[in-house]
Amino acid sequence: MKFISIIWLISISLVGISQSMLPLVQDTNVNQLGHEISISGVGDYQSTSIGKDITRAFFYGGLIDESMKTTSSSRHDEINRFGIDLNSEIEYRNQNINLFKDSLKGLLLKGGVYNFSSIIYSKDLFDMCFFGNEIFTGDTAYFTGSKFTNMAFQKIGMGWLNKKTNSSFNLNFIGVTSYLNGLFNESYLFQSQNVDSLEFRLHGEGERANSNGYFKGFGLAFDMDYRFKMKKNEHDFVHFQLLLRNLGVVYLNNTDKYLANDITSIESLRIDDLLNSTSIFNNPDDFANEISDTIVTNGAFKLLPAMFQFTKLIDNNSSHKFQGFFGFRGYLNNAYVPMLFGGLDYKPSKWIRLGIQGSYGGFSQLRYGVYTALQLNHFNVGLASENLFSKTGESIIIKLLCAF
Amino acid sequence: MKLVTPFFRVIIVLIFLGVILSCKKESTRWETEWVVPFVTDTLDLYKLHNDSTLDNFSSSNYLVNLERELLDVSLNDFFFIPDTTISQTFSPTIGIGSVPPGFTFYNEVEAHELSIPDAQLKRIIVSQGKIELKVFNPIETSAFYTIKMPGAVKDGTTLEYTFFIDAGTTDNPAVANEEVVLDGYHIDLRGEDISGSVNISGFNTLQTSLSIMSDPNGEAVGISTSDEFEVEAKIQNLSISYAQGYFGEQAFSDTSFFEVPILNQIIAGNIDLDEIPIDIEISNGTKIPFSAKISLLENTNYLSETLSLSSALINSSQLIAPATGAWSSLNPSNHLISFNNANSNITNYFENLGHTHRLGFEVRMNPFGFNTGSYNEIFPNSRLKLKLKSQFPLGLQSNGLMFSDTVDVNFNPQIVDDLITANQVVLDVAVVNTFPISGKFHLEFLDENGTILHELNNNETIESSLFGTMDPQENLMKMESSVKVLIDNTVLSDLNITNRIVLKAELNTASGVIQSIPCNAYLFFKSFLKVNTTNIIQ
Repeated sequence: MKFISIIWLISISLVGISQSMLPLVQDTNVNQLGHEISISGVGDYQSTSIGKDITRAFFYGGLIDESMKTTSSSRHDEINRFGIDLNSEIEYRNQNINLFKDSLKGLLLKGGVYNFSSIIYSKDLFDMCFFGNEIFTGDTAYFTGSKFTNMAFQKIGMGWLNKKTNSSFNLNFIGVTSYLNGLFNESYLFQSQNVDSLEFRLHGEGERANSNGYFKGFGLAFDMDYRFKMKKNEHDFVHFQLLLRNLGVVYLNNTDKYLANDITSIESLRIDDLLNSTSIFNNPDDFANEISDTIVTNGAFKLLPAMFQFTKLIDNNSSHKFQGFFGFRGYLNNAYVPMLFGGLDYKPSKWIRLGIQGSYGGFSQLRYGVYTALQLNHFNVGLASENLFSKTGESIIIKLLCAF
Repeated sequence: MKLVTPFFRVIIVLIFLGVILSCKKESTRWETEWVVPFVTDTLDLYKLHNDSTLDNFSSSNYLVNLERELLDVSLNDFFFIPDTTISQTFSPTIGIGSVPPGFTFYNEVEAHELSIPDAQLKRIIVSQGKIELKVFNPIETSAFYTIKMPGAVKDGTTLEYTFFIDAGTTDNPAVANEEVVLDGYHIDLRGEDISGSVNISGFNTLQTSLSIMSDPNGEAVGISTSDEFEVEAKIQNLSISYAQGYFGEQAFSDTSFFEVPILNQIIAGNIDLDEIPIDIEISNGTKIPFSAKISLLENTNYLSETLSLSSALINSSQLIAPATGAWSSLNPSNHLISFNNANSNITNYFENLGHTHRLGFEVRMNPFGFNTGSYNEIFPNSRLKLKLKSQFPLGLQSNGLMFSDTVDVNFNPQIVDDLITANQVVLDVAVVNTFPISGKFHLEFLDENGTILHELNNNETIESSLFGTMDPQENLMKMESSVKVLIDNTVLSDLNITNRIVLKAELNTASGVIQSIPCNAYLFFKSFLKVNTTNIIQ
C-alpha cells in the first residue's frame, strides 16, 4: 500500500489534483515490446452552482469574499449538486505472458487511490454555511433532502487482458481509508421576525467509519473494460468500449451511525432568567446532546462509487484526420446525473492528437474540454481537461504510458 | 576551480526556502453573520394593579392606593393557657371492708385552679384541646371510673366519661390511659361557692368529679386504707375561641421590618416627590380597651443613611376604644394615625429612597387597669390589626437615578473559544418606551477579584415617551429606540476570566417637573446577539 501511496503522490505532484478518460483511443496493434506501464491521474470537481473561486479557496486557501459568495448564491436553484473525483491509477500490462495458456490473454496488474465526494444540497444550506443565519430572519431555512457522502479507498488487483482487443478484466482488493455519509430528512431552521425564537428541526442521520487503523474496512471490486467493434463500411470499423470500474462492496469494521429526530427551540430569555440564573452561559453541551439522540456502532457493508462508461472510441489506425467520439458516463451515486459527452479528435501527424469535447450532466451541467496527446515510440503522454471554461468546476487529466 | 561559491550557496538556500514556503497553504477564510435570541421582555407595573397597591382606572395616571397589614393577631395570640395537670385522689381513711360487685364507693367533686398569668377568665369556649387521663386501680377487682367536669358543657350536655379498668393490687395498681377531646366545650371557670351555687366572683377554676364503682360482674373485694385510687388529668394544647373575664394589662410591642428590594440596587442619583401622606390604621375587634403608639418609623438607603420620621405623633399614646356588639354583630373600633407634610417630614422620608423600613409600635390592653371592669370579651372573629395606608398620584422627578445589578456568569471554555473566533458581537436592543423617563445602561465586565476588565459606557439612550407619539389605541405616548452595544474582540478575549457582569441603568426625567406615570405604562424591549465570525480552515 505504501507503494500505491507513493504513486499517488507522484501523480498528484504532476497534476496537482486529478479524474479520467480522454483521449480514449483504440489501438488494435499488439504491443510488440510486451510490457507497458501507464500512470493516470484525474482531478475533477464540478458543481451546478458553487463558483470555482470558492472551491479553489478551499483547495489553495484564501479569502472567500462577499462578492464570491453572492455570485455563487445567485447561481443556486432549490436543489444543487457538487462533487469531487480525485483518483490516480497505475497499470502494468504484460503481453508476453499467456494466461490460462491462451495466447490472447496477457497479465494485467493494477493499483489505484480514489477519493470520491458528492453533495446534494438546498440553496438554504449553502447560504447558511456561507452567510450565517442572519439572512433568514423572519424566514425558514430548509435543509430537507440534502445529503453528502465521501469515500476514500485504495485498491490493488490483477486480471487478464485481451492482447488483440485490449478488453480486460481485473479483480481488486479494496482498502477503505475514510467514509462519511449524511442525510437530512425533514430539517429546517425557523427564525422569528423579532429574532426572539429559533426552532431547529433536525431529522436525519450521519454515518462515519470509526476504526483505529489506517484502513477502516476491506472489500472486493472488479474492473471490466470490454471493447467491441461494429462494421462501419467495407474498410472501417467503429470501436466501442464498455467500462466498469470499482464495482464492488466493502465491509467497514466499525461505523458510528448518528440518528437525530428532534426539534430544538431557543427562546429569548426573560429578565428574571437573566438576573437569577448563573447557568445561562455554561451549558453548551446540551445542544449537542439534544440533536443526536441515538448513536449506533456496528459494522456495515457499503457499495463503492463504481463508474460506468460507454464510449465510441477513436481508432488509432484510422486514416481519417478527424474522428468523432461520444458516450455517456455514470457513477453509483445519487448526486451524479448520467453524463453525455461527445467530441472531435484531430490527428495532424502520427505523433500528436488534439481534441475538443462537450458534456452535459454529472455534478454540473454543460461543460467543454480539450485534450492533447503526444505519441512517441515507447512513450505516450496525454493531457486533458473535461472542464476548461466553466465557472463552477475544473478538471485535469494526465496519462503517462511507457512501453518496454 | 571552486564550483560551489558562497553566492551559489545562498542562491540554493533561497531556492530551497522558496520551495518550502510555496508549499505552505494559505488558510481558507470567510465571514458569516449569526443572530441568536437574547432577552425579550416587558417591564410594567401590571402586577401591582390591585385594590391595595396601584389604581389604574380612576385617572389617566397611576394613583398609588397602598394598603399593607403590619399586624394581625387573634385571641390565641393574646392568650396562652399553659398545659395543666390536675390530680384527684381517694384513699379511705378507714377500711371499708368487703365491697360487693356493682357498689359505688366514691363520688366527690373537686375544684382546681388553672394557672393563667395576669388574667382572670370566667368563661371560655375551647376551640381545640384535649385531656389525657391516667387512672390507677389498686383493688383486686375490675372497676368503672366516671370522670365529670361539672362546668364543661357541649350541646347542653355536661362532659362525662366512664371507662373500665382491670383489677390491680395495692402494690401494683392497674393503669388505664384514656383521652378526652375538649373541642367546642363551653367551660365555666367561676367554680361553686359553699352553697353549691355558681361563684359569681370566681375565675380560673376547673371542677372535676370522680366516682368509682366495682365491677357488677366481679367479685367482692376488701378495700383498706392503704389502697389509693387516683385519676391524673393532663390538659394539653388548649386554645380558646371565646373568653370572658379580665385579661390584665398585657402589652405587645414589636418592630416590623419591610423592605423594598429594588431600592437597594440604587447606586447614585436622587428623586423628588410630591407629598405622600401615610395613615396607620388600628382596628380593634376585641371588647378590650387599648392604647397604642408608634414608637419608630425610619428607613435606611443605599448610602446607609438612616432617616427617621419626625412627628409629634411618634411615641404619643392613642386610645383605642373596645369593639361594640357581640358575635356576628361584632363591630371593630378603628383609629387612624395620619402623617403628612403638616405634621411630619414624610416626603423627605420617602425621598431618602430607603430600602429597609422599620416600624416600631406598642399596644397595651386595659390601659386604665381593673377599673374598667372584668368583662373583657374576645370572640372567635376578634382581631387586632395594624395597617399602613397611603393614597397619592404616582409621579417623580428622577435626577440621574442609577440602579445596578450584578449577573454572575461562568463562560464555558468551549463557548469562549467559539466566541473568540468571532470578530465582534453586537447586542441589538429595540425598545418601545411608554414611561416619561429616559434610560441609559452601562455594562461592566469584572474578574473574580472584582476588578473591572472592560466597561461599555457610551451606549445610546432609551428615550422618554414624551419625545414619541400618542398611540390612540393604548392612549399612551410611545417612543421607539434602538440601542446597539458593540462587544469587540478585546472584551471577547477576556470572557474566560470574566466572572460577573454589572448592569447599570440610569433613569432621568425632565428637570424641575414631577412626572406623573401614565396608567398601564410599559417598557417593551427585544434583543438579540449578532455575531460576526471569521471561519477559518487551515
